[in-house]
Amino acid sequence: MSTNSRAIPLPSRRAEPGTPIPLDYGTTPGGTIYSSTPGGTRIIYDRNTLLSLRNSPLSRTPPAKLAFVAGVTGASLPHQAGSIHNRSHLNVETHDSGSDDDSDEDSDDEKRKAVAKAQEEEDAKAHATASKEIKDGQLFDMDME
Amino acid sequence: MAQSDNNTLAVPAEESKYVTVFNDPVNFNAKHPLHSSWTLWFDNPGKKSNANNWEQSLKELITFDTVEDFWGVYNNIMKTCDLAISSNYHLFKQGIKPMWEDPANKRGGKWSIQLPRNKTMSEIDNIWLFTMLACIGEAFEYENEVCGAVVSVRKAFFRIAVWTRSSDNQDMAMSIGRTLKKAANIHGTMEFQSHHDSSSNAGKAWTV
Repeated sequence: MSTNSRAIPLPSRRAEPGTPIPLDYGTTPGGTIYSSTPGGTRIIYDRNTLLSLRNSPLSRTPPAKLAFVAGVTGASLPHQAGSIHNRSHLNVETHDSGSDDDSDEDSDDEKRKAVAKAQEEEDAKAHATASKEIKDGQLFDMDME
Repeated sequence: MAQSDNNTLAVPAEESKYVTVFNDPVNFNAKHPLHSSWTLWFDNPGKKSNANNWEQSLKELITFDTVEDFWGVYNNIMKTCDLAISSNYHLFKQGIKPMWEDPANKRGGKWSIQLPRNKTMSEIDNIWLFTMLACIGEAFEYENEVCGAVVSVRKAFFRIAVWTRSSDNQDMAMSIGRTLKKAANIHGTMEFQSHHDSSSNAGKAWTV
C-alpha cells in the first residue's frame, strides 16, 4: 500500500569514520560516566562525585526501611558530631548482645572517650579535605588505573 | 541496570523534567542511580558464638540503589571506630549473602589487611568509607568479580576485606587488589586468599 507521505527531513550530521567521540558523550553533568565495557554499560561515579552528594537534602534522612539495631542504627544514635554522654549510653547497649568480657568493656569505655575527641578532629579534617577536593576545579576525573 | 540500547534510563528525552542536584542545587528532584543495588549487613557474634550460631546474629540493615540513599544510610549508622569489639559491617551486592557458602562467593576469595587499632583509629572510618565508595561507584575494572566488602572490629586491629567471585585468575585478582589499595588509601601489605584455602589454612596467597 503506497502512501503520499514523504520522508520527514531530519537534521543530521555525519562524522567521518574514525572521528573521536566527544569527551562528554554519554555523560550527565557532574561526572557520571556511562562507560561501555565488554560486559555492557556501567554507571561509574568517582570518589569526589560521591562525596559531593553527601550533604544533599536527599541524603540526610535515614531510609524508612533501615533496620533497627541497638547502638548501630536508628533514633538512639547520636548525631555524627555526637556527645560523649550519648556514646557512653550506646556502649552499654552494644554490649547487651552477648559479649561477657568485662575487662574489654571497661577499657573500651576509656578508649571511646579518648577517641571521641580524636574523632571530632578527624571529622573536621575530613570535611575540610573533601571540600578542598571539590573546589579544585570542580573536576570529577575518573581515577582509573 | 543500565542498558546500552536504552539511553533514557536516567537521561530522559525531556531533560528538563529530571533535574539533578548538579544541574540545580535548589530545585533538583532526581537521585543518582547506582549500577548495582547493595545491601548493608551488621553482625556482632560476641564471644559466645561458634560456627553454628553466628549466622543468627547477622542482620540485614537496608538495601539501596542510589547515591543519596547510600548517604542516607551512612549518615545514620554508627561509625566503625565506635563499634563494639567483634562487630562487622558487610556491604554486598543485593542477593549475595556475606558468607562464603553463598553461590557467588563459594569459588571466590578475598583481599584483606589487618590494621593495628591504635595506629588506625583515626583513619579507619575513611578507609571503610572509601572502600564502600569504590564498590558502589564501580571503581573496579572487573565489576562482576566484586561481591562485597567487610570491615571487622577486633580488640587489637581492624580488618578490611573485599570479597571476589573467583580465586583462580591472578590478573583479575591483582587488578582488584591494586584498585582497592589505592581507592581506600590503605598502607601495608594486602593478602588475597581463596575462601576455600582460608578455611583449611592451606594454599598460597597473593599480595599487593
